[in-house]
This record gives sequence, C-alpha cells and structure tokens, in this order.
Amino acid sequence: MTPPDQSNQLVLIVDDDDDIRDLLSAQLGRAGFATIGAASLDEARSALDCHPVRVMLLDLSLADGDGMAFCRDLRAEGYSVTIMMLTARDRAADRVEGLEGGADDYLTKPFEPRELIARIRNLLRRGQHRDELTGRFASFGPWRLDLARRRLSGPDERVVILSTTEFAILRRLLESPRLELGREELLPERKETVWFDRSLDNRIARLRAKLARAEGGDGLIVTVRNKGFLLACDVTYV
Amino acid sequence: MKLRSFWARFDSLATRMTLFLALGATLAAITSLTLAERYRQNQMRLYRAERITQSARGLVGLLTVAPQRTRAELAGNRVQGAHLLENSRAPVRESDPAVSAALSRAFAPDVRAGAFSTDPQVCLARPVTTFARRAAGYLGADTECWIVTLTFARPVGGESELVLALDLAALPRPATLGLSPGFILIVAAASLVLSFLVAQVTLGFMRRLTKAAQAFANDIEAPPVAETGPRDVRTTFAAFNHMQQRIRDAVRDRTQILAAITHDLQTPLTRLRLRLELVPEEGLRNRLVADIAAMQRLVTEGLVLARSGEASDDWALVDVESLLASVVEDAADAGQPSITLGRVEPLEIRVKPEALQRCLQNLVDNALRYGGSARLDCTTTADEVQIAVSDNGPGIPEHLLGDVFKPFVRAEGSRSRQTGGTGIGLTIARAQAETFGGRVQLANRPDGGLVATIAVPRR
Ligand SMILES: Nc1ncnc2c1ncn2[C@@H]1O[C@H](COP(=O)(O)OP(=O)(O)O)[C@@H](O)[C@H]1O
Ligand SMILES: [Mg+2]
Repeated sequence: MTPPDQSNQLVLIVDDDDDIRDLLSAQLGRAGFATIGAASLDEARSALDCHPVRVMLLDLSLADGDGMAFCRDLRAEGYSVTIMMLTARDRAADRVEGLEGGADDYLTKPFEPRELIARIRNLLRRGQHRDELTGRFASFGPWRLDLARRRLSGPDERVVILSTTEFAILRRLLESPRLELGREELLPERKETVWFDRSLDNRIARLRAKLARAEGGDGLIVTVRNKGFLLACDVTYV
Repeated sequence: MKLRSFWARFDSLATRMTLFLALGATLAAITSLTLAERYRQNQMRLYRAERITQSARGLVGLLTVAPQRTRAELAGNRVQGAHLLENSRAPVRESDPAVSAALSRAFAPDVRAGAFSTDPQVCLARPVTTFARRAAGYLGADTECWIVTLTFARPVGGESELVLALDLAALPRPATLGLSPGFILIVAAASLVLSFLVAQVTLGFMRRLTKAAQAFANDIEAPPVAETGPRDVRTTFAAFNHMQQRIRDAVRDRTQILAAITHDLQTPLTRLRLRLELVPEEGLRNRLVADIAAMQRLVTEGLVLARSGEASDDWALVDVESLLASVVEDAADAGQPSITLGRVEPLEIRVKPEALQRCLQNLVDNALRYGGSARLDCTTTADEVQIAVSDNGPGIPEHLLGDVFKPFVRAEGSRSRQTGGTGIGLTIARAQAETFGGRVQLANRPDGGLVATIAVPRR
C-alpha cells in the first residue's frame, strides 16, 4: 500500500510535550517512518541541520518561541523541508497564517492518527518540487483554489464551495499540472474504501461543471483515454 | 383609520419636534407682537394726555394774560383746535385715567380738572372749524373731541369754570395684526420650516447613533462612530464608542478564557487519542474513541460559539448550488445516503461563506441525527433567499421551538437517547447566521418532520 520510496523517510517531531512526541514517534514508526524528536525550536533547528529530515511536524506554541515565526524564518533562510503544522490552534485565520507563512499542511489537535499518516504520505508524494507548491492560493485558469479555506474563488469575489473529495481531487490535479493521473492516483487517501469507477467519473463531472461556472473555466480537466485525467493549464502559487 | 395613520406619523420624534417647535414659535410671535402693540398704544395714550394737558394749560395761560382777547378769539373759533363749549351738551364716550392724571398733575391744587372724550361732531360741527381743518388737510373721521372741564378756586379771566372742547387727531385704532390670519399663516409657515430644519439637524445625530448601534448589534467588530459634530454630540458618540469597546473587551476576555481552557484540554485529548491506538481490543477502542470525540466536540463547539461574534471570514458571493451539493456529497461520503438535494434555484448570495457552511452543517447534522434524513432546498422570496433543511422525523414540540436555540437546551427524549449532541448546535447555527445578517427558523412540517430554514436577505 505504501509506495516503496516513502518508507524510512525521516520525520522530525517538534513538540514540547514529551508524551505526545513519544506517542507520535511510535505511531509513525508503526507506519514505517523513521522519526526524531525536538522539544524546542533550538533543538529543531539543529536537528534540521544534522539530519536529512523530509517532513517536520511543527507544534506552534513552544517554550522558546512561536512556530509560525520559526516557519517563516526557515523559509526566508531557504530551508525547503516539508512542514506540517500540528497544533491546537483551530481558527481558520491560524490556518491561513500558517499556509501563508510557508507551511505545506495544517492539522489541528486532536487528530485521527490515520488522517495524520495519510497527510504525511500525501506531502511526501509531492515533496520533490515543494518550492513551487507553497502558498495560500493555487491559481489556475480563471480560478484560485483557497488551500486554507478549501474552496474555489473566481473573479469578482465569487466563491464556489467544494466537497471534501472534490477538493482532494482538484488539489491532486493541481499538484501535477499537465501530467496524466491514473484513477487510483486521484483518490489515494481513500484507496482502502471501495471506489467504483462511476463514482470518480461523477465527481469529475461535477467538478467540471463547477469550474465551468467562470468564463474560461471549461475544458480545464481533460479525460485521457484508458488512463485517467489531466489538468490542462498551468498552476501558480500565491 | 385616519386617526391611526395620523398617530403613526406623530409617533416620530422628528414630527413631534417639528410640530411643537412650530406651534411654540407661532404662539410666541403672536404674543410678542400683541404685547408690542399694547405698549405702543399705551405710549400714544400718554402722548394724547400730554397734548390735551398742554392745550388746556396754554389756554388757561392766555386767559390769565389776556382774558378779553382770548375769549373773543375762542368765541370766534379763531383758535386752532379748541373752542369753548357753551350750553351744548356733549355725550360721554370715553374717559382716560391717563388724561385725568396728567391734568391734575398740571393744575392741582388750584384747579380741579376733568376730561372725557365725546362725539367728534361736537368739535367739528362748527363751520369754521370744519373749513380750517380741511384747509390744514385733516380728514374728518380721524378726529377725537375731548371735553376738558376746569374749575378754578380763584376765578381766571372772570370765569370760575371753563369747559373746553379740544379736537385732536385720533389715536390709531388698536391694530390686531397679531391675530390676522395672513400674519399667522406666514409666521406658522416660517416656524414650520425652521423647526423642520432644527429637527433634521438634531435627528441627524440620532440617526448616526442608531446606525452605529445597529451595526454593533450585527457585528461586534463594527467600527466606532466618527466623533464629529458639536461638543455635546461628540461626548455622546464618545460614550457610545467607549461602551462598544468595553463590551468588546468583555467578550474578548471571555473568549480568551475559553480559548485557553480549550487549548489546554487539547493536549491531554491528543495524548489520549494517540494512546488509544495501543488498546488492542477493537470494540473497546472504538467506544473510547467515540467518547473522546464527544468530549472534543463539546470543547470545540463551545469555542466556536464563543468566537461566533468575531468576523473571521470575508464577505463573498457564494454559489448556493455548489454549497448545498458539497454538503450532500460530504454527508453521503460519510455514510449518510439518506440526504438528498431538492429544488435549488441557481443563484449567488452575499454571505460569509464559512459561517454559512457551519450553520448549514449543524442543521443538516440535526436532521440526519433526529429526523433520519435530510432534504436541502433553496427558494427565493421577494426579499430573501431561503435555504431549507427538511426531515421526516418526529419534529420538535411547538412550545420548545424557541427554546432549543438556547445553549445546552435539548428537547426531551434526545437527552435520554444518548445521541452524543452538546445542545449548542442550534445556538451556533443562529449565531453564525447572524454574522452575515441571516436568520435561522424552525417549524414543524404539516406532513411530519422538521424544517429548518436559513433566511438570507437579498441585497
Ligand atoms: N431535526 C430535528 N428533529 C427533531 N428534533 C430536533 C431537530 N433538530 C434539533 N432538534 C432538537 O433540538 C435540540 C437542540 O439541538 P442542537 O442545538 O443542535 O443540540 P444537539 O443536537 O447537540 O442536541 C436537540 O437536542 C433535539 O432535541
Ligand atoms: Mg445538533
């Protein structure tokens, strides 16, 4: 189930609660990840410098500083490690700030352990070209996908709401623009559940209908015969 | 009916102020004008008394110095404006205390003097007088004739009593301008206009205050009123702003306390949730996970409720169909196939999208939990867009329809049913709707079940 290149990837857990660090470490270990822990921002920085960290799970309220600022500093200094904020701050505004500050994902505590692992895998899959992939909005065609609020913004402050699955599919398409994506690739987190092909087709059809509501929004998702789908435009992050 | 509509119109401070001020100003103008006329009239009477006295004194003087010649001149009507009244009877028309007072001041104590006015004809009847007056350009009607009787203690010019008839220009008739309809109309119209302007100026400030209070009622983050205008108005606005700030601070404090508690609860909850993964027995683990989820829901919903006054989301034009379809799809994906999309008019509404989403989600959760199904419709009326969530469940007893919006109020039955709700879902739904000017209403459907409606004003 886990793609081979994802095992033994090093995850850095930054959290000042020892129990949570240990519990997370055990949890991730069972899922096949290698982990190291850091109880403070200082420790986190030296861990980043000494180890080939692929993903950092960052708590925001730490004894020696604020994770938001830390994340911003790292980005300013050119660190490209994948950062996932893992915090009790659950306001939409915090999520917006986190993503705008350079985090790749944002998960609020408490969380479903399975959800965490699915998200880490997801991040790792697109981790290679993360430089072009950060920002609050993914801009494509006439639309912007609001990654923090999980909805589509069109021209003149129009908003189209997406279902969770539609968001996931679109997000996946946006990660690999102009690349053919197989049916399985479009719904990776849900591969455990039974997915009928019709269901995916229906969802793509609905997504297309929603995208077509703005001028120039039709024809963005192209069907590739016997293979899957492809996003037929470029994506920029702002 | 007419009285009603008059009362409706009168039931406004602007109208009352305008009417009272206009009425008052008109009365004041009329009164002051009338008083001024009285005063002038009085002055004229004093002046008349003085003239009569001076004439009488002059004649008495002449009689003392040259009795013969003066008599002859008086008898020959050669004195302008005076003659002796001999024998002819003069009817009394008016006596004036001012004249008597002036006379007795001038002649007492040697002479007793009395005076009354009589028919002008008494003075005018003499031919010479008439011609002389005409020559002098007098008009007959404007003449008053005063009879002055002087009784001397020591005879003057051989006479012990002298009766003089003095003619003088009549006092102007007392003017009644103050009561003339034209005047009243002009004054009333002018004061009406003025009062209207005053009322407008005064109420301008009140309207600003009203607007600010309404804005504050809708959004606790509403900007303060601009403190401009005259000093007392500025003071009022400042007081209002101060109150607004105090309320905001109090709410913020409360929210912060709640946020702090929630935040601190989240760490142990996170630990607990992670530890549960170590519980080997699946049945037990699932039940524990559900318990933690219930705790977690209470904590976060309390926080959401406390924060619902904050305007965290921006206004946007939301495509209603996309919203309803996404809610239906998410519920279906979560294993709730009994949710359906009914009739949805294609339209966009100006709301705070996140607030509307949360509001709708809570109503849908209730419909699914208590009604076993949910149907979403969107219809429009002249001034509202209505999003309705209907179910086929038991509904809510009529007398509880209003109460269930209160925090932690749950209808009988759902408390014992262990449905895992917190009792603040509807409270949150209503508070969230209010952030964008929407209203949430519940009603039992005639054919069974509940319909929860979010009404959004069209702009
Ligand atoms: N669709 C519905 N059908 C019947 N009863 C309902 C429905 N929606 C709400 N209620 C009643 O209103 C109460 C309050 O609802 P809510 O504020 O959402 O709290 P909770 O769902 O957490 O109990 C519920 O406990 C339930 O008794
Ligand atoms: Mg509820």
